[in-house]
Amino acid sequence: MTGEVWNDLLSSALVGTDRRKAVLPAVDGALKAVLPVGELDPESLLAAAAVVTVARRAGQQAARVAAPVPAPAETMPLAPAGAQDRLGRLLSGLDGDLDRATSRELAGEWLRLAADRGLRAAPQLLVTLLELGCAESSLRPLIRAAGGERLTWLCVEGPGRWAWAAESDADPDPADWDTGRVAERAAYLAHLRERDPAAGRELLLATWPQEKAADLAVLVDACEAGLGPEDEAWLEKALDGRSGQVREAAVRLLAALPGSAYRQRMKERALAGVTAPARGRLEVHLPTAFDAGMRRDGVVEKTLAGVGERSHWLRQCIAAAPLDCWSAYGDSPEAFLTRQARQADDDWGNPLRHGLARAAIEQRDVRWARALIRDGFLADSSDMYADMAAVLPADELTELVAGRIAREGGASARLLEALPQPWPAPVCEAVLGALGNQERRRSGWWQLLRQGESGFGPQYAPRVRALHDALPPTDQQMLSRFMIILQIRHDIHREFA
Amino acid sequence: MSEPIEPPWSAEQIQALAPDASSLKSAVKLAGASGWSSTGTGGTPTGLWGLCQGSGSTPYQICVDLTEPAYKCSCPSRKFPCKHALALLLRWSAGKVDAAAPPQWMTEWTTSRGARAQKKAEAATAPRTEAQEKAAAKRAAKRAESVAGGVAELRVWLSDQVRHGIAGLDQAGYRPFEQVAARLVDAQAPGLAAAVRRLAPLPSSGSGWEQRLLAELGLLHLLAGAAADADALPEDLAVTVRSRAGQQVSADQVLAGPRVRDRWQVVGTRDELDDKLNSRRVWLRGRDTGRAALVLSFAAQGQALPVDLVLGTELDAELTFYPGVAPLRALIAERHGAPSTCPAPGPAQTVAQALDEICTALAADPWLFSWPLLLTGAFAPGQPWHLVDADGDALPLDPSFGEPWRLAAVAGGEPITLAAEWGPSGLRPLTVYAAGEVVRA
Repeated sequence: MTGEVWNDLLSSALVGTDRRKAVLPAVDGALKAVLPVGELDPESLLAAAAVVTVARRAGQQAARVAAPVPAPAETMPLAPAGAQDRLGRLLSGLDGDLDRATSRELAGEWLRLAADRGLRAAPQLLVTLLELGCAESSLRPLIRAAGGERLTWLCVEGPGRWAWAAESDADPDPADWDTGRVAERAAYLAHLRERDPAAGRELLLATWPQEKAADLAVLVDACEAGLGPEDEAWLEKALDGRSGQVREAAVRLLAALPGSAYRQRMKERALAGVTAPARGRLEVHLPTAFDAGMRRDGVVEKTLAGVGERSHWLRQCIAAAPLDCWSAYGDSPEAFLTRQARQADDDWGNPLRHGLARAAIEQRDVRWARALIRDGFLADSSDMYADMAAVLPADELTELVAGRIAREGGASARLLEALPQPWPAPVCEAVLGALGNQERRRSGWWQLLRQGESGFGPQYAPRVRALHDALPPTDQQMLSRFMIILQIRHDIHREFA
Repeated sequence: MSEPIEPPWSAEQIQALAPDASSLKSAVKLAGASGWSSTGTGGTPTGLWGLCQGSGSTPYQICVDLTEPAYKCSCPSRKFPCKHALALLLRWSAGKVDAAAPPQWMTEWTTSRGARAQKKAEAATAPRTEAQEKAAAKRAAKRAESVAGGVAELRVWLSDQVRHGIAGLDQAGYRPFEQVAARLVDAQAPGLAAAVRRLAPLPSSGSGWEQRLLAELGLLHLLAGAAADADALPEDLAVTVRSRAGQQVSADQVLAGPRVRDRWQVVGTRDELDDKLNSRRVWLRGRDTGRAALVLSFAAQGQALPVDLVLGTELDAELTFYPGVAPLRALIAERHGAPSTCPAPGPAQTVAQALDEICTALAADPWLFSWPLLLTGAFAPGQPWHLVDADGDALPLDPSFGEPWRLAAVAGGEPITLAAEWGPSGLRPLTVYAAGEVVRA
């Protein structure tokens, strides 16, 4: 009944009572005494609107709604209360004066600790974690691990953007191959290759002609899983295609295939470029022209500024050649390098060693990596040096990094990236020593501190605080961020104890 | 009353005491730092104290009276509570402060506070002189005249809107409303001015705005009519009408009214930060009487709001209510002891009971646009969301609140206790209580 009255009132009020008058009939019931009747002037229209409004509000009826689906019972215990508070502060950016990226990194550490202990995050933090996972896909597995049953329930009931949280790490869906995006198709292909390489190969070759080059490159990459000698034929065929991206991907796989014809070809090119005509001497012969065979094998023709084209080609061939091909020139990597060093004309030492270093990194060859590092030739080309160091056995790596930090301080900070985290004790001691060294401060400090934030084990927090307090005030400022982050990490670990 | 408060407040409760985010950040940092000494809790009334080494040579002395709470710190900060007091509370919350006998500087402070409070109480009860009475009566008469003028103008303006049609108001912006509101402020009717300002956003509130605007115009017309002839109304209703028009009852008058003693549970707090005035609303529910109460406090910009009521606690206290037909707003007249934690408030209502309560309140005060409820039920997602109780009865949530997934995650599809504000467009959640957790909405 109020509906009809209300519509009359509204249509009159919309255009104005001057243009359309509302005429209310007499009503029965509770509103009879309070609703005006007949043609309404503005005042009585407003009075009637008030009556209907109050009647509707006061007469509100309960809606009938089905009860929601309850979440399944949890099987994992909750992380301790202190740890929950910490995660809440990290997620809301309330912990110290940390930037967002650091807060996220620390939240990642929190999640790792929870996952290791089989503990879960409090339900009230799950929505923030889900949104974090939408933005930061690298954290998704950890968020899934710490979310418990409630997280799965939420992403089934909740908005579609959280669907990733329901995806299991188990079998990918075969439908992904036909309808998925390229990343999902690659994931399916890799999964299939692990169990049945031949089936994966046939699946890819069947759709090969229809695929776009950019997608093909990704899919070929995915075939690294289950890679074997049977793959050589189709990968060689891929080299004949027109797309550079696909060729690059195929070359990567062929290089990883022991005894492949590709490796043999690169070896021949490398040996042709470096000969040993007389005892104790090496001679370098640069390729004279860039031929079709080199292009087919993924050698890059264009060079960077400052590097000769021809030496650039040779370097790539050496980098891809199996390192054992040099045994003819010396009993050991050291012997080979000594021979090379004795050569009077050392112009070609640089491309040669860069190529060898790349090969040592790619082939994870400890002997060559060790020899090249001892040789010291590449010590300043720090990226490659660090990558080579990462090939070394753990003890040797620790000794190397600790030694260089102790001698050179922050100048060797790049080497720290080769270490697994948390860093071994001798390295932490060396870094603390370098930070406390009043003589050789400044240079590279920033890198040391930045890397130390995640590299130091949290048990070093008291030591770092003591070091901070012992420094002059101007230096304390530089150290304070490092100290705060380590302290927070220390607290995070302690709160899980 | 020398028992230590167990368990201490949660970190979340202490966050609610911070005057701003930066104070809290500094306090979190400070709480984890070294430099604390002589910390302890205990005494009468139950307090918390400590020394914190600052940048000066002598450490800062921090005193906290946990019953109100009240604070003192010897630091020069103008923030209140300062970061030192917050940090001390955080340490207490983290279990880093042990029970002890208060040091002399702590007992001196509590004693002087007690003396000041007594003096203030004496001044408040002193009777007014005849001259003061006369002047007050004169001011009241002048004010009534001014309000009457404003009300008359408002009635004309309201009629004009309907006479000329409201269809075009969605193109007109806030200006037509702002002009009338400004006029009503001049006429000393700030309540009516605020009511007009509440209309301003309606025309831009999306589909159905005409309905919402007409409803509110009608209610405002009803209020203006009542305000024009308030003396003819029953006394309680007249008080409600006058207070809605903006005539405040003084705190002294309120405090002189009848007291309601109960264990008052703090079931919701919300801060509103305005350009000029910050306000804090605290919703209470009596455990024994089941009564709802609202304690409002205000502070000028840059000053902290009083922080004496903490979410998730309950307090044995006597309240006095502002007079009116549906009394809700209240003042704390007297406390009995320190607050204690309250993870499961009651008595909670079914949807049917809540609707009855709203109906009764609206029947008394038709202008109510919000009313606090304490419900049990489960969150049911949908358009709109609902809170559905064990009988299958449901109330919609206000769509403008957004999708309450965070609260739904806490509830996990199971029934929870929800403190919420009822409004014409639905419930606006304040606090969820689930499995011992108190989660602010």
